[in-house]
Amino acid sequence: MSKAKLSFQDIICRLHQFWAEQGCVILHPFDTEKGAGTMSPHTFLRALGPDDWNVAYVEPSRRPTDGRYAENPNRLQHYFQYQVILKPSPSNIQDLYIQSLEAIGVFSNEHDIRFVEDNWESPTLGAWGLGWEVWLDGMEVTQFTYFQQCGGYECKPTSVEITYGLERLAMFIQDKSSVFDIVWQSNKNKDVVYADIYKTFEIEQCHYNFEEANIPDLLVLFEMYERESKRLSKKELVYPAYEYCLKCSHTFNLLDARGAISVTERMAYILKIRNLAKSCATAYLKKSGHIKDKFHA
Amino acid sequence: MPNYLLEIGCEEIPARFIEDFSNLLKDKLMHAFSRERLLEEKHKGYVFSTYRRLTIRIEGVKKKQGDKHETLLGPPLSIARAEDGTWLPPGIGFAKRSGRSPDDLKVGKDAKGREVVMVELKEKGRASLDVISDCVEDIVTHLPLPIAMNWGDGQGPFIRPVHWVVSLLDSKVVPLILFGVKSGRVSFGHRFLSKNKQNVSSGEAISISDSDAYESLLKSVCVDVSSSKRAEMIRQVLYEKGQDDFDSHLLHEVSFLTERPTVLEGTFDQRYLDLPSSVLVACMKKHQKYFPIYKKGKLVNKFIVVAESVTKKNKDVILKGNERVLVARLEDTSFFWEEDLKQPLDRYVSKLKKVVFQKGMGTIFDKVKRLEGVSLHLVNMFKFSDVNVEILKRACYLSKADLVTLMVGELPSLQGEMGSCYAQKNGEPEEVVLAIREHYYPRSESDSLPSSKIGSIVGVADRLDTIVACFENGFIPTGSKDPWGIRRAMLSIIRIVIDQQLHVQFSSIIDLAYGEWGSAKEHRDELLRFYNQRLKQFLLDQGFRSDTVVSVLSCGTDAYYAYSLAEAVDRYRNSHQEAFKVCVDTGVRVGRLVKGAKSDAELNEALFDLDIEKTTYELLQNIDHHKQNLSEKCHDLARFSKKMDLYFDDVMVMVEDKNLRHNRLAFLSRVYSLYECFGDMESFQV
Repeated sequence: MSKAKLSFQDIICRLHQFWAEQGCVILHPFDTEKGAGTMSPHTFLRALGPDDWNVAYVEPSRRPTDGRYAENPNRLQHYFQYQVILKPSPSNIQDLYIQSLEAIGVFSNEHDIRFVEDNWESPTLGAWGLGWEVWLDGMEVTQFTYFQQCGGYECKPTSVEITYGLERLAMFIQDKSSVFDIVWQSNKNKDVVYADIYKTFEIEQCHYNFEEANIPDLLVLFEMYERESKRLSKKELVYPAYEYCLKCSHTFNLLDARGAISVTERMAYILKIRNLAKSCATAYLKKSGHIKDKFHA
Repeated sequence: MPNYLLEIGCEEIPARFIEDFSNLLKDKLMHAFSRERLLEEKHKGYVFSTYRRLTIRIEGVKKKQGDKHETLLGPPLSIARAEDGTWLPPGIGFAKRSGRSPDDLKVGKDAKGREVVMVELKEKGRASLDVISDCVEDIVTHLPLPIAMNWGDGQGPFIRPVHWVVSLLDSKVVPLILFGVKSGRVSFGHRFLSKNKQNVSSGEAISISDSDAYESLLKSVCVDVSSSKRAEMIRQVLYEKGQDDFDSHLLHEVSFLTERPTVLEGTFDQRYLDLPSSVLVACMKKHQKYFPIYKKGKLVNKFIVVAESVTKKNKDVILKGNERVLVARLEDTSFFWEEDLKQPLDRYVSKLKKVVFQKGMGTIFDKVKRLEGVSLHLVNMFKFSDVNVEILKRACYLSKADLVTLMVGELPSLQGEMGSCYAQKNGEPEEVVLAIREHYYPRSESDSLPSSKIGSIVGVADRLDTIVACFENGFIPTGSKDPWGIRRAMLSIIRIVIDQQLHVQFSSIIDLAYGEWGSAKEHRDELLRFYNQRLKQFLLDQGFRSDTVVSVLSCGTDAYYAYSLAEAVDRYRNSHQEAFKVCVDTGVRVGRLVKGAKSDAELNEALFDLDIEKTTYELLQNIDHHKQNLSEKCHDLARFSKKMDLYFDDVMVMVEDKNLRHNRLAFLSRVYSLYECFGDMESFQV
């Protein structure tokens, strides 16, 4: 067990290499804030329609309410997911996943790896799927989902999504008990750790999310973004429309962290965002000729 | 006698429904096999299932499908055939429906000896092999799925993607195709414990030579296919470790999360024992599926994990990993505990204004206010004179406060429990502490009931409020749909009322809840019917005779009365069959006479004509109508009924003489009230 421990960036590089060898396009993070890798258009839009699509990318994910001012060793408001989408889902997908773990030094004969039921639903995206959380000696390290619906549309063929929690995996591999101790890069004798890069970022963002975010402005922004998304999806400018939908989602999350949204309003906001996402999905499918304009009937 | 084996190999199936689903599969297959005349007289079905396979074995399958010999009866000959022997439309139609031509029609007699036309269906049995193929494909692809998914390019729906199918009649492969997978004899061993080929983790391929060899062959590739054997093995270790009072649901669940379980014991730092034990237990069970360990009834800093894929080499690493995960969880939890305690519990109450109770039905804060209103009435109705009203109010006020604490946000199953812990830390009165915890009791069928009066009141009030909200807001339980758990809530009210021995009409306590809502009672009748159904089911589940139950339910909506009466009546019936029959017979007779002849004459003793009228009346007067002991009341009723039986022998009630008749009816209506409190005599079957 005295293998050299992989750094955070090594883990990413190895995963890139592994999935590239499996025929995946290696993409880069999408430059709009989002809550999860699923929300990247490389997943959300591409899971729609009949065309094959195999992709892997790292996605920074923001969950403002999860912030703990860097005081909790396991919780962050900004973290990284490693996202893989394969469409249609290949029948050896579990084998591939196990091999990918071996590529980052986690060997199946050394651990208790289990696929435990965990079904996924995103009310804001009108999406849901069935699958598992993967347990590695009792720790949840990956979400594994067969998409059944996206933007309110059936997914045919079915995409499979693998979402690795990079920090969790790195903590496991490096045997760290705090996310901030993760070695990001190991260069000769000097390590750069997660805290060096993200601790101040984390604390400042928490101050912003919980205390400074300007509620009235955010409320106005939400409306503006919503209006813009609607306008653009009518023009079938799918990607710009979808970006504004994502902005709505992030603005909503910020308002939520500020405690500015009552529970009654919550549902209404979620519905608004879902409608935007649904419109984008519809526009995407229409534009690519996969659905007819049935709404004029 | 051949045996049939079907194994459907899947990607990991959710543990929570493997057992039910494979039993359903077995039942459906057995049923179909029987319908297809494939089963010998002696037959039996077995289920073996794990998270990767649904396996059914059917013993006692015929080699060849039984021949079919059936006679279909048609219309009477008289209308089916004309006198000249030509077939008429009814005959022709019958032949057509039976898939025959009129020439095939025969004439015979039906069970009653009438002449009818008939068709004889004879079919040679096919080879079982062929029949099974169709049968299994049809059953498996039409199973009602607890959860349905598609995969790949249009495969499914099934519960999880299917990878292999073993289908054997003894040693012969029964060819079939399920979800694009052809059946064969190759199964797969344990994903990680058996030998895999390069880049594959489906386990070692193993050829099943014969359906009987299935269990032992799978064992050789590290899979224990019998779930009961897996559970038994885990149970044994728990016993060995001195744990005999463990969570059986958890045991069931972990036995379906493993194919070759290994039980490991881990430890955690002593200092986490400062957390409330309910919190520790929830942390261990809920997310991690660990068993907590108790010594002499006290939680210790140890836990049991039922691990999978364990070898001598990786055992320590796996255990260490699990210990670390638990510590991370406990750290998180300690943080919540400390954060939550920074404010006293009553400070959380106003935050309930932000939590919606039910769409369109206000917040939890509103609910708390109504709950107090209902509780203050209930305390009087229940005649709980020793309950301190101020303490009751306090318990109501704090009952839901923990819903907005971090801990309950993270571990919702701890609602009530946490409120109680926090209240205790804040120095709230002991009764308040207890009531916050207990007002959720019973949380399941096997859970205990509230031990305290205040806990009972708040528990009943809370549920009454939810029930009214749901009925008036359109969440009325139908079939399997009961998102708000209204059936269980109703059952809990019934159980609490009976346990606390409270004589109250449900119809009046539900009106208290309606009163707090101040809304229209649009669905009140429906609600009361629902209550009656639940009470009936409850009484039946207690094992009371069904006619007793129907009878006592006619006495109103007092659950405790219905329960006690059913108990007394059944006990009496069982030991005094004859006497009880007399009770019922006379009761029915009295009832019919009274109901048949409307008379509101006053009873006049002077008009008694016969001696037996006087003595029967005397006996009636001697009976204490207000006696509480229902068992004694049964005996009284029997004694009186015996007399009443004699009365009917001698007395003609409906006599010509109007005054005499009315007087006798007036007497009977007094008698009737005696029977009435035993329910509807007409319902008893004696």
